[in-house]
Amino acid sequence: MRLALLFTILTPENKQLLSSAKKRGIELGRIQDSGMLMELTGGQKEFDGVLQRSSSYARTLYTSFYLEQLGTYVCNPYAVHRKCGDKFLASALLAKAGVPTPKTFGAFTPEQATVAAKKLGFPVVMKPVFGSWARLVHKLNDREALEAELESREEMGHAFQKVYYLQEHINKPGRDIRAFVIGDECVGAIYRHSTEKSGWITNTGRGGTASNCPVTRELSEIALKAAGVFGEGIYGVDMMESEDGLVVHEVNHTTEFRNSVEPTGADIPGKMIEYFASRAKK
Amino acid sequence: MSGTECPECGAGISQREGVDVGEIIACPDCGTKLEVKSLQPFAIDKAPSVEEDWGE
Repeated sequence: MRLALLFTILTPENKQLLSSAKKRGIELGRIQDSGMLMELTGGQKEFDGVLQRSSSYARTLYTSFYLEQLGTYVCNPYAVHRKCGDKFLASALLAKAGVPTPKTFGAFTPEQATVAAKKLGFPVVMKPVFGSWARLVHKLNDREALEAELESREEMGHAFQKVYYLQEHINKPGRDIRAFVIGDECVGAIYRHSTEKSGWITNTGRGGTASNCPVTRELSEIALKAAGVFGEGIYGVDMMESEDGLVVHEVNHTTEFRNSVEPTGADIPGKMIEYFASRAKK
Repeated sequence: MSGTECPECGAGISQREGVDVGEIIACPDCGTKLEVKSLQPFAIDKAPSVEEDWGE
């Protein structure tokens, strides 16, 4: 069985994955996406299984698709990345499956985006349909802020930045939750606290801090249900504590975990490697 | 352990133990982020910029 880790740069997470594989006697080859040359009309399968850890969403999509065409098992599969990585698709799929999720609208023009904001009521949250680390995720407190945002996007944005995604603002208690789902198990969760540095954003890549979040039955059930919408795999399910209970606002398909192993005490990289290797054998 | 030079400022960069290909290190003099390209011989280059679609 030939297995490999696919990455853009060797992040601390990726080093932990390599080390976890070594400890378990699992040989893991390395594919750096910048060095890939993909012969689309006649490539050869080199690996039976590839653990997808590219930093780039574009490279994640194309390498996953390419490798699957060659008969390689990719974890997570292309279809997962395609659906999870597009917030427009993900929100619609979560809602359809009955997963509690904030009320959300999509629109293509400033006029319809303004109608959506009126329906939601200010403040509203506007996000790019593709994006991570909460980049360009803005809380818009009033009509003037919305108009400024829309004008900027119309003047400077590319086509996908003009797909307007507006979401109900959840008055969260200065924190949100990331739950780690591997296969059919919720292996741990962290609270992500907003800080002076991160502002209202909680992302740890933006200065938010992490602490352990107990995996309650409710949290585990919602995390597994949300992950299940996209198919069995490895996920970071982001949720907020609303007045009506937990709501899922994002499901991460190539989840980062560097700040989560210590607070949770969960061997997230070890469990990821074990899951990946066992699925690749099937 | 061998060494090389920072492509930005020319400062000497020594090969840390445990460092691996694809890892990002910082130049101790100018702070430029550098990607380890090979271990034997030890070679580095400027790290790729973080793109709009990076991260999770």
